[in-house]
Amino acid sequence: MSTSRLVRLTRAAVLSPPLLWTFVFMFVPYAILFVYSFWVQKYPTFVPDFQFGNYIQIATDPQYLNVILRTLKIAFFVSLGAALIAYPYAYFLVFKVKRPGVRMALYMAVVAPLWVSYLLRAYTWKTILGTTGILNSFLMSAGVLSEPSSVFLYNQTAMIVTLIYVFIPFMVMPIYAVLEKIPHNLTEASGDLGVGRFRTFFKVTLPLSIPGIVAGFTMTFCLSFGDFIAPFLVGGPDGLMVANVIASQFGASLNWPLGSALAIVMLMIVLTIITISDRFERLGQGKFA
Amino acid sequence: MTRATLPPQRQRVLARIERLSWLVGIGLILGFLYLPIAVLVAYSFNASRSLTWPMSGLTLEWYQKLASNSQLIEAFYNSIYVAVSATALTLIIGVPAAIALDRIDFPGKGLFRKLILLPIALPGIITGISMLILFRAIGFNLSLETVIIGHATALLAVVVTQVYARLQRVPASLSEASVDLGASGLQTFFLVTLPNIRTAVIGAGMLAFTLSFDEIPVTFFLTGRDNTLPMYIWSTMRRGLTPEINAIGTLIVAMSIVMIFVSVLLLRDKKNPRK
Amino acid sequence: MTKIIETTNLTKTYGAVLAVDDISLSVEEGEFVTLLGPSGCGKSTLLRMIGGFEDPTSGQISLDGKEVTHVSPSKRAVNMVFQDYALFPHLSVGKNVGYGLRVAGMPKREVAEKAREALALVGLEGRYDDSPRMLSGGQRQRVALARAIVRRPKVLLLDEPLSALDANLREQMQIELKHLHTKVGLTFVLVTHDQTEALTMSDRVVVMRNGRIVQDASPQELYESPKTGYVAGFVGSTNLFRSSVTIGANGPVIKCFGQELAAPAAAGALSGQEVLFGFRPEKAALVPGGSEPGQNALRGKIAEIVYHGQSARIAIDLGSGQVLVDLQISDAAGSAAQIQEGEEIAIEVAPHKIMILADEVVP
Repeated sequence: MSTSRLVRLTRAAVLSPPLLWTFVFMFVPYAILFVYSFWVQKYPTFVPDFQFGNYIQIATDPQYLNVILRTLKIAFFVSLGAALIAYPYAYFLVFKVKRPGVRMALYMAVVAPLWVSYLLRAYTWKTILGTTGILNSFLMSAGVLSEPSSVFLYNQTAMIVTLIYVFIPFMVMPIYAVLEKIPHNLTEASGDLGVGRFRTFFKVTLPLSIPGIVAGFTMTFCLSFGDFIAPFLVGGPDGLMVANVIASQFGASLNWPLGSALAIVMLMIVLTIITISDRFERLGQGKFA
Repeated sequence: MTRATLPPQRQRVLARIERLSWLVGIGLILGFLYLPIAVLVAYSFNASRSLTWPMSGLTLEWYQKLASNSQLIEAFYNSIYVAVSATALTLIIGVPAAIALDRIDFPGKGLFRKLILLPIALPGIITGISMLILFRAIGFNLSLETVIIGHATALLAVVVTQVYARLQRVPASLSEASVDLGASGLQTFFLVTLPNIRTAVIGAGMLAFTLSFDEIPVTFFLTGRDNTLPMYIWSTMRRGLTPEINAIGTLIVAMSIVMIFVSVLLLRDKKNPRK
Repeated sequence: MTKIIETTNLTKTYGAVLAVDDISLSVEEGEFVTLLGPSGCGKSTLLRMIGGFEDPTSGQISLDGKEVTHVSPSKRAVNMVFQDYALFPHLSVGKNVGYGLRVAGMPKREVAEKAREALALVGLEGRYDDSPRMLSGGQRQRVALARAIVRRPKVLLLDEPLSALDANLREQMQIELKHLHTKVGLTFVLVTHDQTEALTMSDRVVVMRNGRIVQDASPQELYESPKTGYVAGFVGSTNLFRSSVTIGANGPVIKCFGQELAAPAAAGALSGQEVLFGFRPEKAALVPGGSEPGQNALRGKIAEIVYHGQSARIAIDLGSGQVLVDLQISDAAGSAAQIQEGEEIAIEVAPHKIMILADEVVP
């Protein structure tokens, strides 16, 4: 068999299954989703059409607009909080821990919770923060409260805390990876040149770690933006996020066109954020590459 | 003024304070991370149904209830079935995909890559909904099999990124040498390429299994009559807090610890020289 | 002797880049041929096409009389030693060497036997069970050689095999490769950019540039009679200069940087033309201080002396140009040890030692 024929046959064999799969189960579904977003709800289900009504509804109805804005806000605070906690942890691991065994152990310690069910980790906060929960009874037995307070649960703060809790490992990993790559002699050289440790951090370490921060921030933002579990468990009535609204369109409301339109909107927002962060990452790398 | 300019005595004190504050901080973070898990495990043995502090006593009652809960056990086996099938499927599709991305140039490669990697950053709900729409549109009923397909699709990204990264470190000259010595393309794949990406494939497989076992957003929209374990737990949660959930949770934690050990062991073998 | 490799009008283009330009080359059985040239000249591409790893754009390749232009490498009786050795890291040294035989279906015991034989040929029989990781660069290269030889291919292709080794090891390996060639009797085709390697090991050297063959000759012929200024400069060093040829009383005369020299007899046919000439640094002789320089002398001032141990390279400023002359230090009379920078000096170049060179046709 000739070289080119052998190569071509091998390529076809290797490429076909993945290409086929991706086409059928990824490209086509998104295409149909896009098409559905233009259809219209007609009792009891929905019918084909081509109208922008769903999108107009999303843009003008304050109910939907508010939810989207609220979700964006929550996603932002979750990412910010997770970053503020994850960065010092990663920094400590890379720069302050000398023994590789200890460093590995601490790294595993922060990543291990990822292996425990996400649902359960979110659920535990429900048990901790509830009126019959542990926090309340602890505060009561300590004398701080005289009766259980309902302020801890079923609000946006509870959601933010829960999501931060879930996403800290997601933040630590990319930041750790990027901090680890910084050559030690850079910080040494900086110190050698008489620059104080704080300024070395702000002028050398921090800028070099931006790609990791951006990667972690983006992933945390996008994933919390699309979450519907935390709102369901600890969010309460005004903790509804976009994903819950979408889910209900495919559930009880049976308004698939509207749900599809909302999903497309969510898709667009997430894709925009990913694109922006890609630019950001390349910016950070370009400057110091 | 930098710290280095202070007298040595002050420097040592400051260094110790700094060290201490770091340790406290790390301790707090780890505490924050593990407190809920500790609570979960502790209260799975709590004698009363309530979650008040302090605990009322120890009991295995909730675990016993679990053992006789046939729905739970069925959901557990369903999850295993789904996870094993989805992992196998995603490896069979994902490894060639990674090889294609590494070695073959073809039209539409960029789009292919973006599509595969999309589910990583995309909220699972979008993957779930889009596949639900697909199945409904072609008239497929929802079942464990649709869940398997959904998982396999969402997990492709995991396999592709891991295997692709490893492939980059395998020089192309190895496959050329293999063909030069008389091996066919298929033989080269099994005798040369695969052994050199073995750890990545195993790692990706284990990760895919774990993620599939715990998967919720995609499963939520693709489940038919049979529940996976997370779906069963979800439905239990809707009915209110019960200590059985703590018990299931603790068992899952225990299983996760076992999985971590197994994966570390499996991946460690690579370091020992082969006979 | 049979032609074991024959390429006819072989061409390879990558898009707009012409890597190999219409090359027709033949190799006899048992020869040690080296493809020599700078990076980018097409030598590796040519080698890879012979091995089957690149598809020619046009032209043909025959191995031992059979046309193999588009045949897969696995079906050609040719084996390659890759630049990075390409040893399989997940197999032991012995299993590496036996890989080709196993894949062909030979029984395990026979495979092991033959693998041990091949390893013994390269002096590594004790390392059968070791992992390639434990070997040094030179040892890995020998394993790669053993692996390629064990299948007794008709031709062995070597892609810059010595470039990753340090200088001392390289010299040693050059000798070992030459010995291996004699011992095993296969045809070797080697690619390198190092002219010393080419001269030391080969029966024949093919100098390439920009995808074309510039000169194809034995090392001696290449060195003593380079065809072009490029070859003269690439293989060894040469003092190059242009001059028009005039006919004087005693024969053709040329000017080297303004000074007259008697030209070689063959220059007579080029009377009136501008020609490229050259002479090698070691072909010039120092005129001892005090004696009267002969007919073919160049006078100038010593600009620089660079010491090389047994010889010294002297740069002499002739006014409108510089020439380099290599002198042996061991030579007592008129020894290089006695001269100094800044001194006036005269050197003699015998006419038959001046080379007539063609210009490159630079595409």
